[in-house]
Amino acid sequence: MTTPVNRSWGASPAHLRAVVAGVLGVAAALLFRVPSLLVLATPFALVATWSAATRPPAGLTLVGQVGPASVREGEATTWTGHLTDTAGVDHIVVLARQRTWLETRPPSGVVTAGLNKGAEPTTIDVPMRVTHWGRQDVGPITVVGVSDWGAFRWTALDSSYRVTALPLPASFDAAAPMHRADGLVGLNRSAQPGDGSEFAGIRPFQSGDRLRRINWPRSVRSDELHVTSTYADQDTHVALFVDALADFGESGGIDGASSSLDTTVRAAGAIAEHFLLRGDRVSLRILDARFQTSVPPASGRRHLRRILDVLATIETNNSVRGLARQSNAAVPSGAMVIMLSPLISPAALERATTVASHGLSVAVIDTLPDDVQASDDATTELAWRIRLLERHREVRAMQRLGVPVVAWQGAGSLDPFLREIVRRATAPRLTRR
Amino acid sequence: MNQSILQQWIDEILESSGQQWLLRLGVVAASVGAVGAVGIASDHAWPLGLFAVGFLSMAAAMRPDTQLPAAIIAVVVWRWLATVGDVDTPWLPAVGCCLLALHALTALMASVPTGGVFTNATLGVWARRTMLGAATTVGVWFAVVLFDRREAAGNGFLTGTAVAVVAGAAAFIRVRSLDETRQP
Repeated sequence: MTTPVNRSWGASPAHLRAVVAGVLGVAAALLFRVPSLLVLATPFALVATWSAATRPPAGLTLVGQVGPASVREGEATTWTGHLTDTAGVDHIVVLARQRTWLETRPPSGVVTAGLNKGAEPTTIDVPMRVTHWGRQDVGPITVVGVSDWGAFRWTALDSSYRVTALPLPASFDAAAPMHRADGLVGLNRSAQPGDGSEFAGIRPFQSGDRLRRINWPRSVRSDELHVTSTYADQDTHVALFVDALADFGESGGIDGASSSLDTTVRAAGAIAEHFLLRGDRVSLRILDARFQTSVPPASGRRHLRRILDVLATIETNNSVRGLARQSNAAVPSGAMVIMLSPLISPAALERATTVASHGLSVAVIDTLPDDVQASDDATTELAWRIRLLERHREVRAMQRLGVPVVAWQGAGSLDPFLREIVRRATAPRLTRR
Repeated sequence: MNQSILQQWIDEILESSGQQWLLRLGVVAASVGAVGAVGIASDHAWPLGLFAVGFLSMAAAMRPDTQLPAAIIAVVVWRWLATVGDVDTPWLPAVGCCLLALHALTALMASVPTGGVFTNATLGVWARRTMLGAATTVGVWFAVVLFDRREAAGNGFLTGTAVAVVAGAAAFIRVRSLDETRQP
């Protein structure tokens, strides 16, 4: 939304200076017959007259936009301003307000552009790189039009832009075999294309395809990479639980250190991407106790985008009341539950324990950073150490219940858990109904 | 000066672009050059004025969107009229050109916040404009010197016409300079 601060062009201190020095100087030189004063005042009289004569006739028309409005972390978006009615404008100055998670180019956020007289419309770009997932406010952008000699200025504020930065999924892969899900019916293949053994066809290579699926004879004949596509053998429902009750550690954006919530969100994105590209179904539930956000299970690339969109909206919230409401939500039987949590809030641990007690396969991914500094205060530091000891005890208790707790280490983090699920799939299981 | 203001100054210094430092250097050079030219023309060194104008010019270079340059102009013009007053010296247009350069540099710098960099095209346009103003100053100086050497008697009609032209120009500038929204 563009809001002109000045509807018309306003005089600058430089113009006032030129007018006073020029007019008064020339007048005094003539009246008091001081020829040297005439010479000294001449340039200012010239500048004042020139400035007044070339004053732009009307205010500029600015139309701003930000695009793309949705990017991945670390990618760039651009604010673009289209200016019309630029007659008489000498140059344009754009100032983008500095934001924590937006890197402008140039870093000062100041972009200037000289105008060719008569060339319309004029377009000015301010590239910005989003360095943290989430919804990031852009601007306000201040646009200033300057007339000849800097004598008159027109100012407008362009604001109310927001860019959604999708979390950049961390590197993740699982080498362990997936367990056979309840969704597999006899020997019939799934209707969903995915990572299976039943031949579906040969198609051009797409981003995300595994290299071992490349069909080399066809690729050599067509001079283009082709892969052998298959139908998914399994139809596993992977239920992701994301603990957004609190955030621990310093966040440095995509190029810096990761807080617990950063690791949680990026790991959730990576796991979702991994399983969705395999053809599995993934659901998402945010434990933030405020909006009770959840995404029902589905598969496909569009669903991955939906999950990343929801992850990008996460904000920490630790209202226990809201969490209690959420805890009644049921988890479908046969789902493989993966909870991502820093394991500081007892509520998240209780939730994982409850789900596991219903006979579901549950894995907990510990996303607490190693270098969390609680506070400089000795009492707070002591309380934090006590909480870590309690956390250690709670994690041990959970592991004794058969819920694996693994630290997030990127690729292979879930391999022990997946192998354990395959082993358990053939074993008898005691559940509480 | 409290800590926040000091921090603001430090940030401003650190965030300034190289081009802004060059322009600031130009402001100081133009101011000191004008005082120096007055001193040479009058054969009287003025260290106190040089120091004062140098200090003012540094302040004006850091805060170009103020009337500090006007103070420098006033000091230089007053010093010229007080110590020289002579027209028949080439240092007079030199002082005028220095003051014009001071005005142009501060006007240009005032239009961009800290860290901004002008394009070469914009700098070129402003340089050509300033040189045109300097040429006009030199031309007026030539004309004034010619009239001065002829020692022509005063002409009331010409003087009145010139004053009327100046008054008309002042009225024109005033009308064009007012904010349109403030006009009845």
